[in-house]
Amino acid sequence: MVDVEKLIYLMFTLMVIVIAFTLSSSFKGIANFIALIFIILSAVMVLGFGLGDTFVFPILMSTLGVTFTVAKDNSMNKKEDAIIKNVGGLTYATGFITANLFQYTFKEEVTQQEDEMKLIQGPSNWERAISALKFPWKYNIVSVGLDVQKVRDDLEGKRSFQQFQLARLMQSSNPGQNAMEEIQRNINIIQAKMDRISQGERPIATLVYFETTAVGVSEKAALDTLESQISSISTSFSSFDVQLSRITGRELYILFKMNFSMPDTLSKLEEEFDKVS
Amino acid sequence: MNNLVLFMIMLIIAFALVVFGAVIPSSQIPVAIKLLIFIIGLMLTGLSVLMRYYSEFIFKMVKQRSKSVVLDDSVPYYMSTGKDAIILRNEDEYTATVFIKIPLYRSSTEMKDIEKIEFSNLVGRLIGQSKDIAKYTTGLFVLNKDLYIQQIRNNISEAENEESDMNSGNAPKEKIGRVRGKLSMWRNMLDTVNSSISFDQVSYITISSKGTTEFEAVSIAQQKAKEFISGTGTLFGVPPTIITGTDILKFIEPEYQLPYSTMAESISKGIKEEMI
Repeated sequence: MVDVEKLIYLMFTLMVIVIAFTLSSSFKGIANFIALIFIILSAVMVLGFGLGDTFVFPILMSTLGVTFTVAKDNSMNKKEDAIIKNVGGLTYATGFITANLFQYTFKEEVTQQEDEMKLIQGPSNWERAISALKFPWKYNIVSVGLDVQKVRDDLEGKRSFQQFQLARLMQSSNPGQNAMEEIQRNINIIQAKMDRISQGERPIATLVYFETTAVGVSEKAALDTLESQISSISTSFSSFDVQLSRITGRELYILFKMNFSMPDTLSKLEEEFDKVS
Repeated sequence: MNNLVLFMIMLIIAFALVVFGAVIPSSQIPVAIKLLIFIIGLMLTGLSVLMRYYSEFIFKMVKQRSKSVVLDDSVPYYMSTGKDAIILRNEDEYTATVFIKIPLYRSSTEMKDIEKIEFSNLVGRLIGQSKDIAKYTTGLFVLNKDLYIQQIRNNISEAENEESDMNSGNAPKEKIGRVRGKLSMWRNMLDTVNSSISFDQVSYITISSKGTTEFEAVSIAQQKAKEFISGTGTLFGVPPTIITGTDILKFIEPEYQLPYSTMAESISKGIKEEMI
């Protein structure tokens, strides 16, 4: 998911491209044509790096044949989707997958019965999923408590905005039923979140990911085993409402470093990793 | 330099180059130079986005001008003096990381529905118990049979030496037969130990703290750890403990999660079976 901060950076950058397009008319003939080609190229670069840097950068580096050493005896493979370590003739390959099991987007809308059913099924589903994994893995939840007052103020602001929109829509000559229902739904979700905070629940931000390590007599053997382990994890957890995506490039480097030390603030975690929810 | 500052500087330079290249009159510089400045500005615009996240990668690539770029070649941590934390030193700043083991072994098969709801809620409360950043991990680790395997190998080697001595010293056939039987027993035992990999499920919490000295960082981390131990213990009624010594390595180094000798024996057995 693209966050607002990322979109602001993109907007700033694309503004330069738009200005360049406006000014390109100062070039005539073939120069104008070349300028337009480079404008398109840079727009593609901006969008590619901005929206999918974790895919584009590894592809670029892999094409150039560049490999990165991330610590003593540890390096990234060429595809930048695994950390490789050699110990006495054996090669260990470690891969990461994000797996946010807590898709709370519409949770506030479910009934109490549905909520309870999920809580009952949770432990059994979890055991069924992990019992199929006959190799080493780690399921990690990085969590940080948020400032209750700040979250409450944010939610109150959002609720007021939605209520204002609803009031304006009701005053209009032809209020759309669908639009009104959508706004009412948003208000209910915000209200449910506020109620949970009032009941003493601490709002938290989480980053959830799987880590699995494979071993082989060569880098290729270890990476092949790792691929099969990652497929097994994906298959086992496909029954959950979960988005699984392989971690590559800089995010792989960050998760590797997080094995030795955790970031000390939420902003640092968010700055380094896009997939905090 | 902060990535965001770098991004802004590059974007401003890119903007200046684009505008300069486009507006400077052709009478002052040739069109080709104008176009080149314009294109450099555009390329810098594209690269500025990359700088937002990849400045460390790109700077080291440019500096080292090699296909094998070293981002960091140092050992990422060292063990604290008290062997109860790992320390990461970054210039004058120390980060201490402490690991807390949660001895929680409950299965949903032995729970009623109401207990399952309660357990799920407890897990939710565990994760939200503190305002500090913490990592909650549960995972499967290969049971370390390295010492056991080494012991069996030593016994095999001793038995082989004994057999060889007896063969050269013309010992009675019964004695040789007994030593051969012992050798066969140890070999069978090694085979049995390697026939399957045993796993161990462990749950633990990781927390870090910064300080200007190692002592300060460790003290703050230990203080935080005590709060987590108390919170987790109250929730689940189990006694969580701080992990010390080489046991910490199991959580951070792959060769301790998959112990070397255990895996090497298992791989070699697999290869032998494939050959047969």
